[in-house]
Formats: sequence, C-alpha cells, structure tokens
Amino acid sequence: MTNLRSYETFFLLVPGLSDDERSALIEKYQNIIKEYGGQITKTDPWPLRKLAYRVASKTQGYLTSGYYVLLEYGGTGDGVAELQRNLRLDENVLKFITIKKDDEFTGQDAESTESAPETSPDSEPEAPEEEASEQKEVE
Amino acid sequence: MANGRYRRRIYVRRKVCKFCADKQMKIDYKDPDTLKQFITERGKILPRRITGTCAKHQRRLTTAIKQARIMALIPFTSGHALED
Repeated sequence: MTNLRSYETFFLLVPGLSDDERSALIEKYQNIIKEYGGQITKTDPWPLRKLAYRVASKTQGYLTSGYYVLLEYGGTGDGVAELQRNLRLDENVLKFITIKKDDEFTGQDAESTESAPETSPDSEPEAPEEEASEQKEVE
Repeated sequence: MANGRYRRRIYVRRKVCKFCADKQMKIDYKDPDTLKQFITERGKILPRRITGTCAKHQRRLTTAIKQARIMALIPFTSGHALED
C-alpha cells in the first residue's frame, strides 16, 4: 500500500441545493478518496455563507452565497487528482482548493475508518507518488 | 526647520508579532475574521512594518490571504466586494 499524505480539500457548492443533494455530493467525493485507498478524517459542511465577491456560475449566473465544505483526509496522489478532476467537472462546485497539510498521514481521530482502511485499489498499478499535488489552486 | 516641532520620537514602540505572542492564534485561510486584521479596507495585504508580524508568520499569512481570496472568503479588492 502506498503511503498516504495528509490533505484537506475545501470546496464551495452552489446555494440552490437541498440538504439531501448536498450530502449526496459530499458522500460522492468521500467515496472517491476511499476508492483510492484514502481515509477520511473530518467532514465539515459549513452553513450557507455569503461570499466576499460575486462568483459566476456556468448555469446559474452570478451567485452571492454558497455552501462551503471541508474534507480532511489521508490520500494518495492519484486519489487527489481524481477528486479534483471530478470537482472541476461538477457544475454544482463553484470553487475548490486542495492543500497538502503534511507529507505523512497518521490517522488521528479517524471518524470513518470502518470502511476505508487498507483497501488497496487493485486497479492502481504501483503509481509513483505524484508530487505534482503540492498545492493546487484552481479558480 | 522650527526646532522641536519635528523632533523625532526617540523610542519606537516595539511591535510584537501577534502570532508569536499568542500561540493559540493559527493562520488559516478558512478563518477570514483573523485574516481581515491583516488587510486594508481596500483588501490589500498590510506590510510587516505596520502590523509587526514576524517574517515567518508574514509569509504564511500572505499565502493564507491569497488562498482565502481564491475561495471567495475575503475580497480581492473592495471594488469587487459584496457588502451587505
């Protein structure tokens, strides 16, 4: 199993979503991390928040508020890349940022270790740790 | 020049880095209220000489402010800001 690194991904969802839709989306992103052998340590959905400036949405014009969600996890470089690809494609996601918090992951206060641990993804052929995932910022 | 009027203050009050003084205070891009203490009304990052932040924390602060701007937590400039 490849070593995990400690990351956090913070993203912004459009305001028009219901609670159910939001939790479904969050779960979807958690599952991407898990599929790649990662472990989620913290999920923190923020309440609806006013934005500092207008953000243009592809489908909904200019938006002035949104829901922020914070995911903290230990993940692999591939997992992060896949997560970011999905966030980029999702029209409900306005903005996101992934920060590498630490080069090592120690599953502190693991809240959801039950389903995650050691499921080495068989499709992953000993991928070299992508060091490209230092700190990606995407509009 | 008129004597006395422009007399320089001999002592300058030594400013202490807020983050060194208070170890509990964390620099986090997700915490706009803290970051707002270190930007001007226009949204610019305040220089070290004004806030007294030490070099190490100023570097982290700069990164955090830029990340917060990207995430629409604080404005890039007041011209784009949404005020209620």
